[in-house]
Amino acid sequence: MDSVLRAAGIYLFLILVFRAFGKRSLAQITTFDFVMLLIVAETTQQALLGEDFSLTNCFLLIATLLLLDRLFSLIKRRSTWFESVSEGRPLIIVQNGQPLEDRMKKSGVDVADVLAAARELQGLERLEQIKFAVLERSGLITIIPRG
Amino acid sequence: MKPAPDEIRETDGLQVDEDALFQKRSWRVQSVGRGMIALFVLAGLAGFFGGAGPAAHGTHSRPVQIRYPRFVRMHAPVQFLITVPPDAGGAGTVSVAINKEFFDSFEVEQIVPQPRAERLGQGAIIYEFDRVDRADASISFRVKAAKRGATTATFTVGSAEPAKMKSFVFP
Repeated sequence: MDSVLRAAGIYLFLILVFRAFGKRSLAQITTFDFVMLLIVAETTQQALLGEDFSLTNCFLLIATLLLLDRLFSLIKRRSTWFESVSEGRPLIIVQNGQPLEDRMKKSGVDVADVLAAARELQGLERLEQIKFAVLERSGLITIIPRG
Repeated sequence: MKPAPDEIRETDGLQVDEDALFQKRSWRVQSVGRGMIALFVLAGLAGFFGGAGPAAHGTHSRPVQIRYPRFVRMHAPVQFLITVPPDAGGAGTVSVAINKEFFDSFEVEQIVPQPRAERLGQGAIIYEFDRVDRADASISFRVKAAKRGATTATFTVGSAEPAKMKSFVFP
């Protein structure tokens, strides 16, 4: 029982923490973000296992995590509200070449991020060439160029 | 229920399921969440979740001084440190009786100095130590928490009044 509760607790805590810190917290992985991700994974792993390194505990933890993930996916598929709460919604951050400053600031995105996505995804050179930039649920920025 | 494709909002021809009101609420909740996480970290720094920090330990000062952990984390090592007064105990030995609840909540890892003898008492285990006539003589019980929740340790040193110490074990 202990392992199942521990896995559920950690799963929920990670969802809450990453939701509180926004979509962009680990969306674009810099070298340091990658190191942070490894540290978080290592810390989580130790708390998950405790002092029990048995195969049974390992199987139980993996099964619990995957089951919880599946359960969350099913609920998200059925409920827009739950999906919005757990993953957020897409947000337009540039419209007709104009950056929507307030939205960008609150989402932790700047013009440089939008331009980087525009260069990478569409080969665009200037902000004015962008019709829409959307901050997706995943934290990635998608670009729709002007026609 | 999920919206049908023709129910998805449109902005200037772009079909995107954004919701300005939800987004505003979401930012507000996120900032509250970040504030709570900051408080959580500050509480951790202050020692409210064990480890180091001013709130992590308490000191029971009368009749015997005992430094004990107020907040403990499961499986993390902590110490109960008894400063033995020169007048405690009988000739040659000093006894420390510890209640049964303590042993339900903590696993004793190490006792320094080693007790001369251990025996069962009424609802307690009694340790006998060789007496050292020094003002700073101390006995340390290094333990690991084995049970979650609130617990009370009762230490009776020699013939002094029992010292009751409350600790909370976090999962």
